[in-house]
Amino acid sequence: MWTPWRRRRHSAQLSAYLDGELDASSQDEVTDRIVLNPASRAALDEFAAVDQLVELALAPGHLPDREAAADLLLSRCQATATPPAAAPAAARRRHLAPAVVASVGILVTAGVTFMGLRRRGLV
Amino acid sequence: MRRIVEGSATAFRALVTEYYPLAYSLAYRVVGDAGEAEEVAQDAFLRVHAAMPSFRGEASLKTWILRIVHRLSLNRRRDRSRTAWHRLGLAHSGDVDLVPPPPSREPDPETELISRQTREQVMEAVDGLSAPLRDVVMLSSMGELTYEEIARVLGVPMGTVSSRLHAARRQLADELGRRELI
Repeated sequence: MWTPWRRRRHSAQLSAYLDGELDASSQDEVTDRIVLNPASRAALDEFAAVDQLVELALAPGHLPDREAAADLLLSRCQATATPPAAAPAAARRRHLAPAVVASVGILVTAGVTFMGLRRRGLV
Repeated sequence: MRRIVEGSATAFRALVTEYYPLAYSLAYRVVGDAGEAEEVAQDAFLRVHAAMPSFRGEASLKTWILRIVHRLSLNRRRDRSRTAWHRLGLAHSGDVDLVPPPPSREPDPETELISRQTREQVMEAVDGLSAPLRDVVMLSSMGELTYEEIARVLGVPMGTVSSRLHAARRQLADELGRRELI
């Protein structure tokens, strides 16, 4: 007499058996049970029937031409690629602008400070 | 991989031709529309190309790419559902499971192996799963990923993948049995 837990474990083993995912000893154990037990055989057949129907229902009607897909993807990749020489120059320009602004700011501040000190006769 | 990082077009082409069908296949399963799946897959590879210099090699390229595809697909699905609900004046904050079903898939009639009605019923059953269970079903149904790879794509332990997949199979078996499809 099988307990519900044992029945469930055996059912799970049948599922993995169908996918060839059992280790060698479990594989032998399940094979014996399938041969000797009609209920196990019926359960395995039921899973196999489910798989067959699902595979047929979900499979695409046709597969796209892989060479045509490769041509298209390569042309799209090349179209979006950044020219290698342009990128560093653009990056340099981007970093240059804040540096110039900061330098001018420092010079102006120094000039105003110097003029103030001079007006008070401190320099 | 180093050649892709260095900008080798040949290496990137090899990467795309190897993994594009898998990426598309996952995107299609999640968004349910061929055109949108193509857009998601292409967007994912553009991101892969841009992020390649920061790829540290902790995961395989396959699971890394699929992780990106999965995230973008979920975003696409969520954005679409939000738009649809807002348009109807039925916006429902924070309830991710209240998504309308994906637009109807358009299978090639010549390659159709199950009837449209059966397909729709199975998709309804899959859409009825909670998001964590649906995610493992989408990835597992591609038939190309191990539990370890699914775990890496979803960022969960391997044991969680196993238990979620079992729970999903049980629920789907009940639901599809109720509809007399199995």
